[in-house]
Amino acid sequence: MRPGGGTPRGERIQGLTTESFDALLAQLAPDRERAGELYETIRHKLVRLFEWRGCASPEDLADETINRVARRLAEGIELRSNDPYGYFCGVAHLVYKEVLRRAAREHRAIESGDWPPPSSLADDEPSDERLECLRRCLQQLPADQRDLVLRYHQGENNIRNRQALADQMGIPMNALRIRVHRVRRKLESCVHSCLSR
Amino acid sequence: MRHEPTDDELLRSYLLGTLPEREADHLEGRLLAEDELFELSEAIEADLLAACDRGELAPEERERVLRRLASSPQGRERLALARSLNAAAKAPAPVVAFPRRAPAHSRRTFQWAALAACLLMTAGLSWYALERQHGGESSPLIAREREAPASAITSDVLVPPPPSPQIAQESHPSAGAPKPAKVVCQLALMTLRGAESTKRLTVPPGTEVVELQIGLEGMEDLASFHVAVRNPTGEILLDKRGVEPKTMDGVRTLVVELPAVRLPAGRYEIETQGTAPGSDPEALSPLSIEVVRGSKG
Repeated sequence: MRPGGGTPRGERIQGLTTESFDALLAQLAPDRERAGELYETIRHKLVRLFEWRGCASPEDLADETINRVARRLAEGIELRSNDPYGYFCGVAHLVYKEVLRRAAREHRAIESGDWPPPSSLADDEPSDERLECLRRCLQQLPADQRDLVLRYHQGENNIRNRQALADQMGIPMNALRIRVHRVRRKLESCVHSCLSR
Repeated sequence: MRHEPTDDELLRSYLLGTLPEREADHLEGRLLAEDELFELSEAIEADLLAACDRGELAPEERERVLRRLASSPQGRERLALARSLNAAAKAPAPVVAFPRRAPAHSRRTFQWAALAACLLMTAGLSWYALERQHGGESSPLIAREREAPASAITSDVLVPPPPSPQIAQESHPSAGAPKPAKVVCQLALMTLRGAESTKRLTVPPGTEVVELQIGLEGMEDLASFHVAVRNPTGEILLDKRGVEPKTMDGVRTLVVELPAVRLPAGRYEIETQGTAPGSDPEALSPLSIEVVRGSKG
């Protein structure tokens, strides 16, 4: 693993020296493989946090955050072992605030990002091709997972439906949400590869 | 008294962009540190996109969802998946309905399946001897006893096949078999809890060991498990941590054994927790078995 090449996603890290990248991994975990996994998790989370904040280039901002943390670590800063994520979070907030200030300077609304206005998205019907891919992917799931995700998405009395489902399974609603989401992630990846063919 | 918002309420506000800045900062710190909370946030995001597609959101919320969660290319993909799932869940076929009670013909199938399962369990003594000859691996001849899913039956729901003459023939106890007699009970997590979730297990006289095999389909991320079995009075009979799944017939399965003598007739609860690497343990759906002591002859 090295910045600029190899794993994890080294090719995305711009302007990061091998020393600072190594310092980052060493602080995340003594085992390099484990450190690589943690790095991927943190990066994925940062990307999503910037997305949820409405930023237009979440991947770039996540990499910028990681680069800054890594540089500081190479300078000798140590992550607090009881909260190694706190430092990433603090730096991410700084990066976000810089983006806000820059956007304000450029009189650009950050929430709309660089993407087309949402009105064009509002009432799209899923394409036949996408539906067909989804059907195929659903068929590949174990029956219980397929039933679970479809029942969860049934429209009428949706909230009551889900509560009944959670009661039947004997798990809290949030556990049900997470369980369904794990199945949905599999479907997302399956549909994506089906559509790419 | 001030209502403390729950995590799902906080996440919903955060995703809609209505959470005050300070609270959003604090929540983001937790999202980075807590994997389960992060997963819940992604789940609620998907719920919001699905609700938006179904027209269940107030106009202002809908606008926020479209702007904040669905305007990037990745967000559009997620919205498209939510729409497709909503459409698939509406369609009559091949969608499987999820009635708590199966239709008449399905129930008949299950009644038959339950009978077959009971017969197989009763035949477990000599079955075990046969299994040992296979080197301890599950024999492909053995029908699987599964939790009855609370769903309509589809062709790929696991229903035990009819016992073949071969099984019936091999189910007779073999004279002089020296191995400890074992009965196997196969269960599956991730099935719905309901009236059908208590599995009846007949333990014939002479049984020395009861082996519980708990299927783990759809839990590939969980690496290690904690299994506890409680007897009808709530006493813990087995409390085993660090159980790692085995692969049996291509299915990841937890295997634990109990001395049959500790299982008098009654209902037993099986509690399971699974742990993904780097995460806290997650409680899984409880299972139960109703032990019935078989009579001699």
